[in-house]
Amino acid sequence: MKRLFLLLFLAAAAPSFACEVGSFTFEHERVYSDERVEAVMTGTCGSTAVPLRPLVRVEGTTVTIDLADGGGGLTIPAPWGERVRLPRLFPGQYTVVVRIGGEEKARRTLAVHDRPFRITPEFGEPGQKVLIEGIPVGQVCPLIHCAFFAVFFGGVEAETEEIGDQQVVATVPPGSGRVDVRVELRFGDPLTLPGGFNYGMPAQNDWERVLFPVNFIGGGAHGSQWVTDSRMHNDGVVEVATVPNIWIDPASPILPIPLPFIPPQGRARFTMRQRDGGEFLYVPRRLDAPLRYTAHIVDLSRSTTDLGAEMPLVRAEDTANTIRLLEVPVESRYRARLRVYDYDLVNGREVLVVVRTKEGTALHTRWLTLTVASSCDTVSPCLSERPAFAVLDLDQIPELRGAEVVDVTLKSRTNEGRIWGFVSVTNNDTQAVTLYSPQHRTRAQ
Amino acid sequence: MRRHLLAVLSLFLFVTAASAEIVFDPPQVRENEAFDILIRGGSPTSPPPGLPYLRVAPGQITIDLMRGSGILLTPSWWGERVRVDGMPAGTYRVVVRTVHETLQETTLVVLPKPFSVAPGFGVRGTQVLIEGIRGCEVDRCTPVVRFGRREAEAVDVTGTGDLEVVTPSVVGEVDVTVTIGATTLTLPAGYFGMTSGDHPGVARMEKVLLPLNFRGEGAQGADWRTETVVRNDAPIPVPTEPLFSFSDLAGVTPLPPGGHVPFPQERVEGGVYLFVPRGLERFLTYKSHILDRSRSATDRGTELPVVRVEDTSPVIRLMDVPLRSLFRARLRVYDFDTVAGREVNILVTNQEGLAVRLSAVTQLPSCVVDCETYRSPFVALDLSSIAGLANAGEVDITLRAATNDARLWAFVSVSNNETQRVTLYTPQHKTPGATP
Repeated sequence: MKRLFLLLFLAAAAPSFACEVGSFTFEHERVYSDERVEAVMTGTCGSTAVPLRPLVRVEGTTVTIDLADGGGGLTIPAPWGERVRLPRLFPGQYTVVVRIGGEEKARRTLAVHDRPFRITPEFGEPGQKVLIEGIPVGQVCPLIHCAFFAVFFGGVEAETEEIGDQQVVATVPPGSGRVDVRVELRFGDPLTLPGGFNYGMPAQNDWERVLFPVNFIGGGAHGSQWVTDSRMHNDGVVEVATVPNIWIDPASPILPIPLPFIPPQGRARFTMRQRDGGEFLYVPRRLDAPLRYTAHIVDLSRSTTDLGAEMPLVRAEDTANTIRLLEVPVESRYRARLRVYDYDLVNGREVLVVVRTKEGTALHTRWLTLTVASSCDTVSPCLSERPAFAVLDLDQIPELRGAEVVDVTLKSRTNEGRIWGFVSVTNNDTQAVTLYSPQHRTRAQ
Repeated sequence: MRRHLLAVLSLFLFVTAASAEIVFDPPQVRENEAFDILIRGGSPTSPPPGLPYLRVAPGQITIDLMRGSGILLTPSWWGERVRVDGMPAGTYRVVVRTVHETLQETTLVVLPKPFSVAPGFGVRGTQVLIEGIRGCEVDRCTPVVRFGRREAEAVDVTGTGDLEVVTPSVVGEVDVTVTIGATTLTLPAGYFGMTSGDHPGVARMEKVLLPLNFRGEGAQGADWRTETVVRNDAPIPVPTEPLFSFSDLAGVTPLPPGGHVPFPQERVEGGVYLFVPRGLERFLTYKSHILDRSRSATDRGTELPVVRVEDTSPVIRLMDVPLRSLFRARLRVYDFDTVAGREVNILVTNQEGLAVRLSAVTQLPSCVVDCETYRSPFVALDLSSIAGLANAGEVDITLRAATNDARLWAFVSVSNNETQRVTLYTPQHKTPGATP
């Protein structure tokens, strides 16, 4: 009853507006022409249903994100969101316009920069090594060994070690703030990457993150003793900074203190915690590529030789606003636990869970709210160690009793949400774990 | 001997001409759809070029290759595969160059794509889905859809404004037009073609690799099953290759909307491809598990990943695979390009300084029907039985194709000799085709 009054109050108080854009951002603050950027829009709809199906078109220097009007029928304000991958844009200044039902709702300027070469990582401290790739080879270059060059950070020359014609490892010289990086070739004009390197505090989007969905150690149901074994190895030529600190120098004679980077050929074990819900590993953009990983969850209460079940690692491209899991067993001999994660550090993301029979009959529907204990809304960059998260024990849902297997669909309330989820099915007798993780295409073009 | 000599001579001649071959994959490149540029050549006296760096500009795509250093005694072929994450429609000059020279250049036409149609083939009466048009979301409208000059037999507007269309009878490649009021959008010829039968071949399809669909006996009395199920969440039937959905009246049929169909198991080891029309694979949901029924009737087994092109790489890196007498560790290597005879170099290392180099060659498994189409060239190695690796402890495994245009995938299954429980070690690293 109270709820009804609240709804009526909201409906009465709802201003008579269609859908509005509250927030309109780009995934990366600095956009280059050799990569595609995502635009993220969120807002509220008053008197109409949420907008649908964004289409993008580029005409000259105007990029239009065109959302279809969702139509009438909504009586209380509802949030909406979309995440749109923009087409490839060549260097220049663009105006990006958001239209809903043909009406302009927001616009932003987007500067797309040329990147004559690439520097990885794009931030750091003096003394750190960075990889510079893509120095053009098409210069006038008549000699056998002609790609000799020098690298300058804000006018200060760096020590370099050449790996090949197009690659060099440079040691960052002293400096501060955001500086230009210049490469001087023996033949041909120098190349400059304006603002290409940032000394000191990186921005949020200077990092990429990998989600370890489970990093649990501790006791579980039926006397189980769970251990998650997650490790990584740096196959690259420069050190990889990490948050949290996980690498311990095996040659160090002093206390084993985790350091904030993994050196080339270094191995590290990811932190285990006595809590469910997974944890992020942050590395500078493009430095996830040289890392190799392994992650397994195992119960040691029944067998000391069992190797457990492999846990997939989750990256942005593995997420979606809708996750579909197929033929998950929910018989009483198993414990079937659904875990749902938000990839975007949004505390309070709402996700609709629909459980159906194989034939499509809905057995159970509910909203889950993904939460995280620690939040860093006012801190930038926000490198929250934990994702917002929720669990649902499918085997405890009365409507599912008697069902053998069910299909599970997870849907973020707003379409810009990037969620991931899986079900672990644990045999009550053997404690053997079988995963049911998303096998559908997630973020297709 | 003579054949080898001729091959070497031809390689020298090839390189003297200072050229490389450029191939686009898929051959028809569409606006803002990812595609690959394959570059292949020969290198007689120095290690092959590599580390491609892509530059794009209006009308121009340039790939810079780093030259190899040192001297090579035996000529070799080389290849690179460069992922291009979509381009605007238009005509582009594609140039491949090294520090010394331009190796090859060609022209690429990127077709405009004002909307999409899937599947891109059919016979009269095929249901196709048209997405990406505006104007039918809220208001009632009566779009007119034509394939060539013939009007579609039926057009339904879905709740989200997409069109479900029944194709008319036309011949060959046709353009597709959608008219809503005074606006007409045209998809040029190349997006849709009429086929003469139900089986259009796989040229207009994309594929997923199911790494196992094995049913049969294994070591230690194991009774292996692979339970793979595919569900179609599209609003139209999805014609796959092979067709594996059965209807009492029609025999094998496309996957019906909402259909929930088990994929057939076979007594053949190795991966099997499922071909799906371009644009419709995102509507399919899968589950795949391998389990042994000899020890337990209730075990749910081990989840197997479904592999797509973006999961592949010329270099695959696996970590901390246990090689101990308690386990059987079997490495399976797949070639996503149906190139039988692909050479793969394998380096197995551990932290105690072990470094064992192996090489393997992929082959098509022996099977009965259309192996070359449906089966991935494949090689399996029992690591536990290789001298030098038995009881090597936890090892890292790096697989590298002989040429960088290859698309490999691999995993190790580690089976507990007592329980038959299987633990997988699959590639968890980022692959070149993965785009956010």
